Amino acid sequence: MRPHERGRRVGVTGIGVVSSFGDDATLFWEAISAGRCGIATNDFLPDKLPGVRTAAFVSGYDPARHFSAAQADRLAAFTQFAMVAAREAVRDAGLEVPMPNGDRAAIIIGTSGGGVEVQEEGYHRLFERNLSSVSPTTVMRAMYNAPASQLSMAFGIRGPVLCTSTACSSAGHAIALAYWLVRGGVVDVAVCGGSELVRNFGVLKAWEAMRVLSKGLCRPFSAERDGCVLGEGAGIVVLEDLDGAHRRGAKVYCEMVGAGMSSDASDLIMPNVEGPSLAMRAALADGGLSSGDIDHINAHGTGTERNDVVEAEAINRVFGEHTAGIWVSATKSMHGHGLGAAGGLEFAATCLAVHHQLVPPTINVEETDPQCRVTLVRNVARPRPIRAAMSNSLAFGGLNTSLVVAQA
Amino acid sequence: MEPSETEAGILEIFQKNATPSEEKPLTRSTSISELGIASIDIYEILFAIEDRFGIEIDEKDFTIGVDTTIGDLLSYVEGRQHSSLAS
Repeated sequence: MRPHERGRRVGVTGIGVVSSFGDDATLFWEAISAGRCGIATNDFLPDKLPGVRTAAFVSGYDPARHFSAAQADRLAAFTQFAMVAAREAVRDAGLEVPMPNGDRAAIIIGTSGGGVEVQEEGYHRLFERNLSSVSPTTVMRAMYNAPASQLSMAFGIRGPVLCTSTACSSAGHAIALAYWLVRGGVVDVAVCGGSELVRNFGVLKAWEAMRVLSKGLCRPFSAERDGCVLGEGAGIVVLEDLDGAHRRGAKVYCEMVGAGMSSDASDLIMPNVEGPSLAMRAALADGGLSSGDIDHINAHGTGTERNDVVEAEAINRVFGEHTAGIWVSATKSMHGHGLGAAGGLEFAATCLAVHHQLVPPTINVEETDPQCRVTLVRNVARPRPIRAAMSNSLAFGGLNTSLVVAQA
Repeated sequence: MEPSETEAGILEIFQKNATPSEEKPLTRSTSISELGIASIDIYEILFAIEDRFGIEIDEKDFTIGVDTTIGDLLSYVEGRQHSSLAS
């Protein structure tokens, strides 16, 4: 089962989260394992955003707790979220900062929209106030690689440092690439995940216009589902050469054993069954696993009509007779759809599920939609032995990732 | 003498961006180049001053050299304020 022949074994040794449950991975796990809903009525310009009824905005976050006023001025919100979560993950892993072997470490942080509020501030000056200039720090704050670069400086990491931007699979791609870098021996440690700001007028207007948002709660795989609910924040993990982690006596949440990527190559918005099937199969093959080895899937599960049917069908296609024995959850029902952060938040949830041997629930579901033939863990977390678990991300643009972790 | 509103505003902007030492507080005679501020941060400070006082700092008229002090910048900003009032 273990992919020795594919390279080194990789452990997850640190987890950091910023979400609607606060700026802390412990708060995140306490909330989702208790089935608490982090979604609330939209309080951001509700009169101007009639189509955005609910959201899971970051709460309990105070920049002054993490940055000086001058620092915060230089950091877009998505960079702040990434830095807070990454600091937590690195602290949790017990790694020394600055890292003594920083040239043997990598950072890959995904985002879908980057520093959207910085761009908006510039446009506001140019087009609304008719001013002739924008802040000289516009580029350095708005650029998608700002979190990766800031973290490189903060941690003294000098190896591969980059960003992925593939909409809702941004973090999935980041974690998959980082996993392969560690497994292949290119680096010994990787800080990876995703970050996103959603509480922004332009972002919310764009999502409102797509008419995919729920009028209330997010109910993935439920017969009553009526769309997704946006969330935001950051989910960052530390991946590490497992032998090295054991040598330094680090706590290991779980072992990462496989990753898969695919593209639907058919439509930007409408997912097909073959694309996600391909990603899940690729992840199993990458880990030398068979369809009977997975006990839990943290589904992409957005709560939109189309996504959930397609993803459930893809799971059936890949896992066949084993499908009924796999406990599926969509934690977006609690923390919302974090876009570029989504794959990071859900990978964190999946690692913690394996670590605690507890499957978090899909909340707000009375009846599973009969069209979605999966064993859904509804409303209340349930303990079970989890040998291995998978986390899926299916992005607009038809880009899919599947990540697999196993009990350490 | 109490500093003018413009002087207080400029010092406040420098204070936020320059992290001055306790032994050498920022004054009119502080040399800007001695503060060791990165060029991008200097531009951001000038941008913040433009925003605060509703003026434009024209690089043809004002550049920061080795000896330029916060007082020099203050004089320039006050000059711009007066000229915009006069026009």
